[in-house]
Formats: sequence, structure tokens, C-alpha cells
Amino acid sequence: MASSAANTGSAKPLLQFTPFSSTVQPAFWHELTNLKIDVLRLSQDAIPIHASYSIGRAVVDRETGMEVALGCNLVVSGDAFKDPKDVKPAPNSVTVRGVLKNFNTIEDFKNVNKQEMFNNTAKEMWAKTLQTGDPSHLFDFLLITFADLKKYKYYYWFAFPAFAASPPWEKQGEWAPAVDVVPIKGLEAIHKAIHSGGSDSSIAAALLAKPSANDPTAYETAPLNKFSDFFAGTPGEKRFVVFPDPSAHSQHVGWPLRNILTYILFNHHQTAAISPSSPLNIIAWRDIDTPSSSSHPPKSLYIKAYVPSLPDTSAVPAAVGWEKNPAGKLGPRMADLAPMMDPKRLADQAVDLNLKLMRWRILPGLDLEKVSGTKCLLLGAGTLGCYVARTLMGWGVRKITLVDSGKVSFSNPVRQPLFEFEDCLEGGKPKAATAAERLKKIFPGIDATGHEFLIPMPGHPIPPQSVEQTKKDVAQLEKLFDEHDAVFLLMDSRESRWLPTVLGAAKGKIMINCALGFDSYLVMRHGARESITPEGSTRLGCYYCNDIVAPADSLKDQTLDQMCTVTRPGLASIASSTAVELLVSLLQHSKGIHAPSPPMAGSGGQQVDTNSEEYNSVLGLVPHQMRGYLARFNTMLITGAAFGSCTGCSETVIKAYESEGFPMLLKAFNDIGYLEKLTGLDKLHSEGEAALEAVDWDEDDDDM
Amino acid sequence: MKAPSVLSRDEFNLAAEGFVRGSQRGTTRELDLRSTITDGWSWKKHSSFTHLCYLHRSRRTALVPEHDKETEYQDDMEDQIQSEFDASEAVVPELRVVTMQQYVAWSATYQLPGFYFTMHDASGTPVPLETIYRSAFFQKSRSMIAPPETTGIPAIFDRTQRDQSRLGGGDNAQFPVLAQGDHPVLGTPCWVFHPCETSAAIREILDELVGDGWTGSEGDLVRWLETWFMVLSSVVDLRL
Repeated sequence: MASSAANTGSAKPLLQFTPFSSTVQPAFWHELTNLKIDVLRLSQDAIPIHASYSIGRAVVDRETGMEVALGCNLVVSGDAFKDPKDVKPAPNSVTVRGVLKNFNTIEDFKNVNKQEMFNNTAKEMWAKTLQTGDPSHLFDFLLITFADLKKYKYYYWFAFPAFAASPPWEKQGEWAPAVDVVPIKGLEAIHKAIHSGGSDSSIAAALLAKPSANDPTAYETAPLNKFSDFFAGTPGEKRFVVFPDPSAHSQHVGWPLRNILTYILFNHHQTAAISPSSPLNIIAWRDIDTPSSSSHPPKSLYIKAYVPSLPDTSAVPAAVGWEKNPAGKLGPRMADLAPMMDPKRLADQAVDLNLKLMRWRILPGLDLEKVSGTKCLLLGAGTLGCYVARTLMGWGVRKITLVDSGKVSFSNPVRQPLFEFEDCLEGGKPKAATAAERLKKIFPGIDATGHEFLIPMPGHPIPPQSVEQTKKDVAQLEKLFDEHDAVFLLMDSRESRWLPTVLGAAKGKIMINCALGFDSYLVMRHGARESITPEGSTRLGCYYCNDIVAPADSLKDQTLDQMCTVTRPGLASIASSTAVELLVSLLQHSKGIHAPSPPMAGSGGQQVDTNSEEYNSVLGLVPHQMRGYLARFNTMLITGAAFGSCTGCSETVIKAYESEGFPMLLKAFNDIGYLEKLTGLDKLHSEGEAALEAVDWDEDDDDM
Repeated sequence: MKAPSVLSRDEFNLAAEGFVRGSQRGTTRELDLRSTITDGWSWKKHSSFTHLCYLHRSRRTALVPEHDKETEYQDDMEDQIQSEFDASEAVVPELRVVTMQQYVAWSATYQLPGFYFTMHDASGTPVPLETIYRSAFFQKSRSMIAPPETTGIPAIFDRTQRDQSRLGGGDNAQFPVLAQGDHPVLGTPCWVFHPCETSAAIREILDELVGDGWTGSEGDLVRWLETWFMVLSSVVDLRL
């Protein structure tokens, strides 16, 4: 006592109260939304609501083993707008009434004269309760709100008016166990009386207790408003005022006691005759279970309190009670329900959860953020493009850009899952943009765009009048490469992959290539260019490395494997899914684009352990090429080294592009022999032919 | 007869109503359930379709302060009220309290009760999944749900569990899957533990407890639901 007085620098041992802290259940905001839309509209009338508080609880912090009091909570639920008589109160709770004022604009909410509103509420409470002697409005509260329904944000501010006694209440000693002054039998009687309830509550907000005249261990109880009658003739030390305490703090009791004390002081001061020598006995009721010496030791607390001198009972005392915000300042609070009410946010959350579960349950090492953060450029928005985009979405990839020069045609929708019949009408919508729109329709959280332009190809000469357009298209493609991390080659011709192959190698992008035959497919990743390939590792080839002819016009003279429109319909989704999974495996490998491909069985004559860490990401191997054959339902893993004279990824070609830029590309498009000359493939051809000629085919040399 | 591994809607309704009545009366239960697991549940009915019912209760806990995220407040609205010093007001540090709304509702798909929940802070703002896992409700089981390295849970909070989870290895296959779904009666978005893996566990316990003595009486059904709660409490701390 003496020490606490010394600490505060004040001689007065003040009785202190923990303010209410509001807890709003999301259902309340849902109801407010409905009410605003269906009933209130623009009305700013005050609406009656109700809330409840219950006996305070403490939880044990697992870290420290300490008890933590959960604060003095007033809970507003989804039932708040109903008549309290129609609502079954929560167990162990006191129902209190309040008034809600909802403002139509944030400015109204900000600018309203809050002090005046508060004073009016307090004045009404005074008139209803302290002038009539009916304590049922002792705990009224005020709530002002502004609902930003477009953003699902709710600004709000509670006030819990409490009349401040002047001079303030003081205490004798500290809060001590009630069982020290009231025998267990008496506590049991009080518990029973509290639980027999108030009118709308499951427990009484306050009651009076005194030892029975016949049996001092038994206790009699009465409602608060009977103070004068009930305690008439009872000596001060045998009068107990009991209230269910929403605070669980060891030395500070809850806010409701303030107005209970005011009520006694102003309405029953003659009987109460409170003074330092005649204090009031107060019990802060904290027992949820019936107190018993064996199973539920009583937790309720007891103190003696008094006012040093009686206030002027004819004047209305000042009230306090605006709630502070979590920053500890007098200011409004805000609830953000977007994660729960905004369907887009819900979808976002659900997509991520699915992926997280995969990580949590199966692959703890999976780096999902790396996958979802990979910006993907899809060249081609046909069958492959559609399926690749969908599988990327499944992995949580958020940025997908599609490039295609075509329009949706009548044959497309059945094979290309992002298109519908309507998209084919009136000449057809542009494929890339339509696919991007559809992706957003499927999942609004995606950042999808479509670009309509033709990727120029070697062997398809550019007419002079189109050179400017081609130059623009190339510039756009270069820009798109710069803006993305991974590029999928999903076009329907072999030679259209040449320019992207060169750009990808030059810019160090992850290149995933996917091509279909009738019942076979190829999925491969391009190796990095030579200049960035780490010392000692094998550089993997690109799409053109195994070719000894430069890309040329395949559309007029195509082999089956180079033409994807005549394929078994299930093939595209298999190949597309494989392509996406290859990208994801590559992203999870510590070496990324330089991840080694498992050596092919039997190659080099020595057995290599492909289970070793070197070849595996958390998702397993990162093969260079996969060739799948539906006729046999099998997939072959192939590793192919880069070819030094490759027309797609050799340093000669990349450097020529880097130093000359567009004019070099134009030569490649227009001049069929250019790339072969540049890379020395033409020499290789003539050497090869010479070698062939040099072979002495002795067809007559026959042992038979 | 042996105990069933699924319940019909009517059986669930009977069991839940019996359960609530029992927990209000404080009847002693054969299963050793801490009373706090069964306390505070109320039986709610859909306003128009009264056979659609669910159990509900609300539970609060404090968040460990270091995981608290500062919310932004509109500074321009502060201090409009002259704050007079009020000597009678106790200064108690503001705790970040989270409230978990717990629901047990019958899933027509699985013919089983499902545990649905939402978690929000004092303003009603739903808390993110990471906060949910870090809350005391899941502390016991967190190592099973979320291998620590990848969740961003501060190491001091998780060191011991990390080691345990390594040792524990693959037994998280037993763990029910958390999913996002709609409350079957209210239609509001909720988190839900996928009920499909609970039924085998309940069956095993009940076979042990009642053997062939299952009659399908209300008492048996209540016991079935209590067993369900027991299985659930291995994941969620229902004693809070």
C-alpha cells in the first residue's frame, strides 16, 4: 500500500477500473451491411443495438507459463440488431444496450461533433437510470460507424460512458479473495443468484448480498435497485455489492462497477452513507463454475471502497469513456473484411492454401514463392498455350502474358480450353487477348494480358512494305522478353521458334519448348548460352542444336512431327502439363537454368546415380528433353549437348544479333542461306557430302 | 452392433442436442473430456430450415506480441476528443486478442460432423492463415501442420518443435487437411478441417469402448460426438 502510493506520488489509494475494450464479430459487419443496403440506405438515424460482456478470462501463455488477462471485453455479435428478447444470450454473459449511428460518408463520420453525441448519450442514461432509480440503462453504450462497402472496410468508434465520481473512489487495501470474508456457502448462494439472471441476460449485472439473519453462513440476495430496502438495518460491514466482473486483471476490476457505484451514491446515498469510516463492500464476481472448496476454488475478489466526501448529488457528474484505438490514442478503429467478403480475395487465399498444403504436407522444401513469382511469357495461344496457362495458374503463377497473331476459329474451342463458340463468331476474336480475358474470368487474381502480332520467321521473307511493322513487332517481343522470367515456345511451326530461341539465349531466360506430332511430343528446356554457362558443366542444347539444317519454311513442306494441328486430342494437355512441370522442377533446382540433366542410360558406358542430389530438385529430376509416344504410352528422357554451330543458340548467332540488332534478324528472315553461312553449317554440309562421296561403297563386295 | 463410422443428419442433430444438454447440466461423462472442451456450445438452427442445425461457440486468446502486426490508423481522426486525465481509469496494456468462432456442422458429403471456424481480431478483421497457425489454438499441433523452415515462423518460437517434427517424420498423414469452404448452414466462408480422415479414428476408439454394444440410443450418439471432439482436440486446443 505504502509503496504503491509512493510510486504514484499520490497519497490517495484510488480505485481503478479497466475500460471496456470492444470486440466486434464479423457477423455484425455483415448485418450492418445488409441493414444499410436494405433498410437504412441513406438514413443516419440512431438504431438500437445490444452487446454483451461476460466474466473475465485469463489464459495461460504457453511460452512463459504466466496467466494473461484477456481484457475487459464487450462483444458485439451478428444478433446485435435484433430485439434482445428474441436472442438467446450467450452463457455467463450480461446483455447491454447501445445506440448505433452509421454515417454515409467518411467526412460525416470524421466531422460529427463527437463530444456532443457523447454528452447526449450520457445525459439520456442519467435521465433513464439515475433519475428513475431503474438501473437497467447503467451500461448503455454508443457506437458510431462508417461502412465503406466497396472496399469492405468499416470505421468505428465505441464509447462506454462512465460517470466520474468527484472526488474519485478510493480503496482500503488491495483486492483480496472474496472467500476471506464470505463463507463458501454464501458464495454458492451468490453464484446461484447471479445465474438466475437478469431480464435479457443469462446472468445478473449486479446484485446485493447480506448474511441471513438466521444463519450467518447462508446469504440472501436482492437486485441492485432494492438497495435501500434490502440493506435497511444491515450494518455497513455486512452489506455486499456483487457484480460479474469482465476484467480478469488481478488488481483492476471492470468498467461496469463505475456506474454501479455512481448509482448507489446518487440513488441510495442515504442508506449507503458511504464515507472513509463506512466503506462499501464490493465483490468482483469471477467464478464461472459454482465455487466449491474442492473442485472449483473461488476466484472472486473483494475490496472495501469509499468516497472521501459525498459529491453534490443534485448535479449531473461528468462522464468519460471513448474507447482508445490499439495505438493507445483516442481515435476510431477500422475493420478490414475484404479477406473474407471480397470474392477475389477469397479465391486468392484458396489458391494459395491449396499450394501451401502441398508444401506443408508433402514437400517442406518447396519454394512456392519462387514459382508464383515467375513471370511467364507464352508464345502461342492455341492448344498448347491454353493448357500451359491453366497449369501455370494451378501452380499459383500470377503473371501470364500470351502472344498470338491468330483469331479464334470454329475448330478451336473443343481443343483449346480457354475458348468458347461465341469467340469464333464474326471472324473470331484475337486469340491472345481472349485467352487472357478468360484466365481473369477463371481467376481474377491473375495478371494476364494478350498481344496480337506475328513473330517473324527465317525462310519467310519480309516484303519491303512490312519491314517497319516487323521491326516494331521485334521490338515488342524484345521488350516482353525483358519483362518476363520464363518463355514458353508453343507455336505451331518450327521456324517461328527461331527468333525467340535467339532472344532467350541472348537474354538468359528460361526457355521451355513444346512441340507436338500426331501421337508424339517433345518437351525440352534450352540450355544457357555458352558465355554464361559455368566452367566444367555441359551446356545443354536448344531446339535447333540437333538440326543440321537451318530453319526454313516448313509450312509448305512439313514433316508430321513439325505440324501440331493433326494430333491425338489428348496429347496437347499431356505435353503442356509436362512443360509446366519441367519449368517448376527447374525453378526448384538450386542451379536453376544450369541444372544438369540426368545422363542417358548407357551413355558414356558408366553408371551415374541419378538419385544423387546433383540432379535433383525437391521435385526430382530436371531432364533436358522428354519425348513422349502415345502409341506406346511411354516417355523417354533425353540429354543432348549444345552444338557449337547451332543456328539458334551458338555464340556466333547471338553475338551477331547483339552487335547488329534488327538488320541481322532481317537477313535471317529474308536470306535462306544466311544462317547456315553464319554458323558454318554450309561448310559442314559440303564436308559431309565430301565425306560421303569418299566412302568407297563397294556394293559388289559380297561374301555370299 | 458396432458403432457406425458415419452419422446421418438426424443422428447428428440428436447427438448434438444431447451433447449441449449434457454440457449445460454438467453431467459426468464416461470419456475423460476436460469440461472446457465441452463448455459453452450452443445449438443453433437455421431461421427457415430448422432441421439445418449446428453447434457454435466463441473462444478468445491473446496473440504473442511479437507476431502482432501494426495496423494503420487514420491519424487525422485522432485526438478530436479532448482527453481529460481520468485518474480512476486503470492503464492496462492493450493485448491483441483473437476470437475463434467454432462451429460443428454436419457435412452432407461426408455424412460426418465437420469442424468449421473463423478467426478474427477485435475489430472483426479476419486474421491471416499464418496468424491462425501461430495462435495458441494450434500450438500443440503446429509442427504437424507446417514444417517450420518454410513458414517464416520465427526460430525462437519454433526451435524445439522443429527438431521434433524432423524426428516425427511422416506421421502427418494422419492429420486432417485444412481447407477453405462455406459453412453448411450459414453459407459464409470458413476454414474447415476435412472430415474424411476422422471417421476411422472414431470408429477405432468406439470399437474399443462399446464393442458390439452400440444401440444407436441418444446416449450412444452423444458418446459418438464426444469421441469426435476428442479426435478433433488432437489438432485444435479446445480447452482455451
